[in-house]
Parts: sequence; structure tokens; C-alpha cells
Amino acid sequence: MMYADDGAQPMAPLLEIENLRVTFDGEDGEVTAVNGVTLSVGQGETVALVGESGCGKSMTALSVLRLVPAPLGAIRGGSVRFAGEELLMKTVEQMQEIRGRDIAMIFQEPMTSLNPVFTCGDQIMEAITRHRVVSKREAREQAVEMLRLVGIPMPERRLYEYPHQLSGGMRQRVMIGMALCCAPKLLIADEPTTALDVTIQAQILDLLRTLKRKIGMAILLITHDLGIVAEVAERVVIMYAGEVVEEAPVRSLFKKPAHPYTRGLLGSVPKLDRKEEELKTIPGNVPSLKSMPSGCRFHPRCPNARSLCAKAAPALLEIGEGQRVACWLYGLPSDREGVETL
Amino acid sequence: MVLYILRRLFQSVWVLVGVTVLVFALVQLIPGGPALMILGEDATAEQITLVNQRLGLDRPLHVQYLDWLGKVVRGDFGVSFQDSRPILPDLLNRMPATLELLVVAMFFSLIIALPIGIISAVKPNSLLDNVGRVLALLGVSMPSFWIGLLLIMVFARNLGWFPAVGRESWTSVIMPAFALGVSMAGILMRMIRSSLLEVLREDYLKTARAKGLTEKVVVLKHAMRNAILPVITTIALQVGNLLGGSVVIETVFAWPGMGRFCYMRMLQRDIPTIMGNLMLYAVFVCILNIVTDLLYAYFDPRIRYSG
Ligand SMILES: Nc1ncnc2c1ncn2[C@@H]1O[C@H](COP(=O)(O)OP(=O)(O)O)[C@@H](O)[C@H]1O
Ligand code: SF4
Ligand SMILES: [Mg+2]
Repeated sequence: MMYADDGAQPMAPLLEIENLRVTFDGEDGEVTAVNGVTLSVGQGETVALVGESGCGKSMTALSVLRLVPAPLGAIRGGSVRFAGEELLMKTVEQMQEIRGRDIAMIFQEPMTSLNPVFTCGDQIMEAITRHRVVSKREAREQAVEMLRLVGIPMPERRLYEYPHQLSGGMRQRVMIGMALCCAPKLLIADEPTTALDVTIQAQILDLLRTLKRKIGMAILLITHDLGIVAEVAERVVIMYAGEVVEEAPVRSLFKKPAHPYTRGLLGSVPKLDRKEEELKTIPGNVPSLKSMPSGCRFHPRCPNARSLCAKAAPALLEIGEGQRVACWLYGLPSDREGVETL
Repeated sequence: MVLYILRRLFQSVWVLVGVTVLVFALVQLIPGGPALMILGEDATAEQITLVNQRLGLDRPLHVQYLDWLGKVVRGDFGVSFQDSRPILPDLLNRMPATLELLVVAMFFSLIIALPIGIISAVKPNSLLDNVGRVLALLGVSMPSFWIGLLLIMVFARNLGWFPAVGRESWTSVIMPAFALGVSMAGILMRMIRSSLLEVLREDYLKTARAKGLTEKVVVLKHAMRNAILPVITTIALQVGNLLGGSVVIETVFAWPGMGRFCYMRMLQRDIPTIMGNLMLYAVFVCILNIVTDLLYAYFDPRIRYSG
């Protein structure tokens, strides 16, 4: 396993998201899907972005490619820097050059993410010829090579098959092959295994890990499954209701989770060796974006909430080596006003 | 795939058999029957019996039907009541004119409907979308003969750009085809819009954009290739309607096709010719359906590979 060395200098950041805000025009007014998210991914690093469904993970990821679904959704502020360059200032044409070449993305639904009317080969070759000057034959050879790389048997034949002729796992492999054909520096994987069954999940994660070693790209892995995180990520960013609540190296996070929400999430990870133990779940529901709680957005569900928590939102605070948390439990002297439990 | 085509061919045969029954039955419903029509209102009973015997109309219905069917299958549509000439050659001679009209009408309706439909879907509720909405409504609600008369008045009488009637010059087809195509363009435009609007929400377009493809390629290649599928079916249905519309338009523009011929023979109650004409229309629609199915299979690999 490749844990980031806690004592080493931080790797040069490849992707830096700062204070990102994404909003949606809903039927009853504007909602903020991503509220001031800050995170970074180092060169060759694997960062997991974790949170319950609807907390804004996908919108954060799509913002990096500037693919937030317009016109309802829009990036309203903040900064997204890739290799030092501000992506939010790029023209549409410049972004189209970057997509697929420097930053690639794969999605949750392998069944619907490939175009049903084109062969797998055509779709991979299209990604190659979009960014590289190659002949059709070279593109085909490279496509076969990609299919072989992602572990698809008989790649020469699969090239001419349509997505509906492949299983979900095979399609996700094709998606990965297509994403990696231009050797991007960053791969954004938005819940790449959520729609697959458990054995296939493990195979796909394995594949991602192997390819990462071979190609040396960085991965922003989005998931709501902390079990996956422990296996592949070096650093973890936890999101709740559109905000980052904790960020830590994977070892610290599992050893001493700081945020009450993270602790809740860890408590609800099923442990195979402790089947009898009752599964801990976080009481309450994810707040709707329309009626967001004041102060700390987690306070209605938080077992440690104090009166202050409902009044003011805590900012991210460094509490240890690479570990930052947004919670009033940290950084306040305990005799301060409003610290009494609710 | 071969199985798929064979199945469709087999279905078409049954449809055609159904059409022969319908056509035959329709003729039986004519009051007094064909004899009265040939002889006129003041025919005597003996005259009618004689004609019926001569035409074999005194035999039981199913015998008459099978006899007629047997001949039709062999390409013998009989002779006209009007001029006693064999019917089929007269109909086939007029077919190219009608096909020309339909193809050009189709072309007009596609070049109107495709761009407006696509832009309306990409920018819903934009100015062009609303203009398209109004155009579609006009196209559907204005009868094509009325558009035809309007065109004749403005572009033939007043401006003299196109010949008003006939098929003498290559420009002759433009006005009748336009009149015929406009009504179809309205429906087609809205169909393309709604189909594309649906497809634009698909995940695979997110994938296409994430690859770095330009919006033009995303919409025209990745989205349209999928959106066109339901549109193909609509087009096929609409061509059937065009065929009906062509009877009227050919009459208005004195276009020397099957439709006008059929209309004139209808006025003269030339029953065998009308029957032959209806049969040809039915064959045409069946061929069209098979072509549609083939096109559909060509565009949709999920059908092509499922047998
Ligand atoms: N197409 C959309 N229209 C309106 N709101 C949306 C749309 N997509 C996402 N949202 C809003 O953005 C929030 C975050 O969505 P998303 O980033 O997809 O969540 P996640 O990926 O964490 O499950 C959702 O809770 C939803 O309210
Ligand atoms: S700030 Fe308060 S409510 Fe929010 S997580 Fe910390 S203790 Fe819980
Ligand atoms: Mg998501």
C-alpha cells in the first residue's frame, strides 16, 4: 500500500480546488450544491472524495472539467488550478483540449456511459484521434493496446463490439481504457464501482491501482464507500452537505477520525470479522439543500453538538500532520461561551 | 439480422393480403355495384345482369376475390372501365412523377426540420425554438392545397418565378414539393426536438464531453445518431401521409403523377383503376416500412445484433 509519508514534504499539487462554489437553479430558487470546497491532489497521488449521496462530490469533480450541467448549474466562485493554471479562466476551446488529454474522467454507470450506437473501438479511437495526430491504423493499434492494458480478453475482437454486447464490468474497463488512452496526468473516477457487483468491484479497483503504478497518474476517486478508500487512497477528503468537513492522510483518518461525521461514517463501515456487532449508523437524514441548517450543517445529526454549533459555521482547522477538520470540538478552549452541550 | 429481415418481409405479405381484402370489400360497398356505374342510372335489369355476367360479378364473392387476387399477384390489374386499356402500365408510367414529388418534398421538409429541430433542442425556449413552435403549428394547421394555391398566386402568377402547373421544366417540382413538404416539416421538427432533448440528458454525452469533443461533435454525432432513431419511424409514417397529400397536390398543380390520375379516375368511377392504384400505394407503403426497418437496424446496433 502506498501511504503518503507523513513526515515528507507535501507533493507538488497537481490540482488545487479553492473555495469552489456551485449553484443550481431549482424550482424554488437557487441552491448551493458545492459550498466553498477546498482540496488538492498531488502529482501521482490518489485522493478519495467521500460523502453521502447528494453531498456535491460529482459537482465538485465536474467543475474541474468545467462540465457542470448548464444552464441550471453554474460555477459561482472559487478557483480550480491544474498544474498551476487557472481552469476557470480558460476558454471553452482550451478546456476541450485539456479534457481527455490532461484530465480524464470515468463515471458511475458503465451501462449508460458508453454511446450505444458506436463500437467500443470507435469510441476509444475517437478519444485518441481527438488529441493526437495519428493515422487511423495507429489509432486502432493503440486502442487494441488500451483494451489489452485494461484486461479485456481478445481485444482485437472487442474493438468491433458494441457496448450492449459487453458486461457491466467489461464496459467499465472500456471506459477506463478510453480515459487513459492519452495518458492523462489526472483521472477523476466518479464512483467507478458503485454500480458493479462486489467481485467485479474488487477487480476494477485492482485495475485502477495497477494502471496508476504503470502510468503514474494522479487519481481523484469519488466514493461513498470508506471500505474502498482504505484500499486505494493515500489521502481522504470527507464532504458533508456541499462542504469539506475533514481532510486527512488515510492512516490518520482510520486511526483517529476527528469529525463526528467521519466517526459516524467509520462506524457504519461493515467489518467482515465482526459480523455480530450491530452496524452503527448516523441518525437523521442528509439535509436538503433548500433548508440547510444554520451554523455547522451537521449539527442536527451530531452527537457532540453544542449551542455554538447551530449559530456559527466552523472553518477548517489544522489539527495534526495533514489532518484538517471543520468542527467546534477543536481549537476552542473548553471554558468558552457556547461550549456546553446542546 | 437476416432473420429480422425475413420476419419483416413475412409481416408485409400479411399486411398486403389484408389490404387486398379491404380494397375488395370497399368496392362491394358501392351502391348498385359496378354494373350500374358503367351503364348509368337508367340501365335496365337485363343490361345489368348481362354486364355482371360478362365481368364475372354474378359469382360468389369469395370466388371473385380469389380470382382477382390471383390476377393481382401475377401483375394483372385488369383493364380500365374508362378506356379499356390495361391498368398497370398506365399507373407505372405515372409513378416516376409521383416519386420525384415525394423525394423532393421529403428533402424540403428535412432541410427545414433538421436545423430548426436541432437548434430548438440545444437551446430550448430560445427565440428560434419559439419561432419553430409557431412554424410547426402553421405547418400542421394549413392544408397543403391551400399552401399550394398561395404559392401559385405569389410565385407563379405575380412573380413568375416558377411554372404554375405541369412538369415541363426542372423547376416545376419545387412549388408542389414545397407545399407538400411544409406540412410534414412541422411535425418532423417537433419530433426531432423532443427526441434530441431526451438524448441530450444521456450519460454518454457526459462521457463524450469529458473526452474533449467539441459541442458540434457531441450534438451532431453522438446525440443525433441516437436521436434520429424515433425520427425515422415518424418519417415513415409521414411519408404515408405524404402519399395521401400527393393526390391533392398533384391535382392542384396538374402534376402528371399517380395521385392526379387516381383522382380523375375516381371522378369517373373507374373502379378497377382505383383498386389497382390503392394496391400500388399499399405495396409502396410496405416497401417503405421494410426500408425503415432496415434503416433502423442500420442506425441501432442493438437491433442489428438481436436477430
Ligand atoms: N441536474 C441537477 N439539477 C438540480 N440540482 C442538481 C442537479 N445535479 C445535482 N444537483 C444538486 O447538487 C447536489 C449535489 O449533487 P452531486 O454532486 O451529484 O452529489 P453526489 O455526487 O455527492 O451524490 C445534489 O444534492 C442536488 O441537489
Ligand atoms: S461543529 Fe458541532 S455540530 Fe458540527 S460536527 Fe462539530 S460538534 Fe458536531
Ligand atoms: Mg455523484
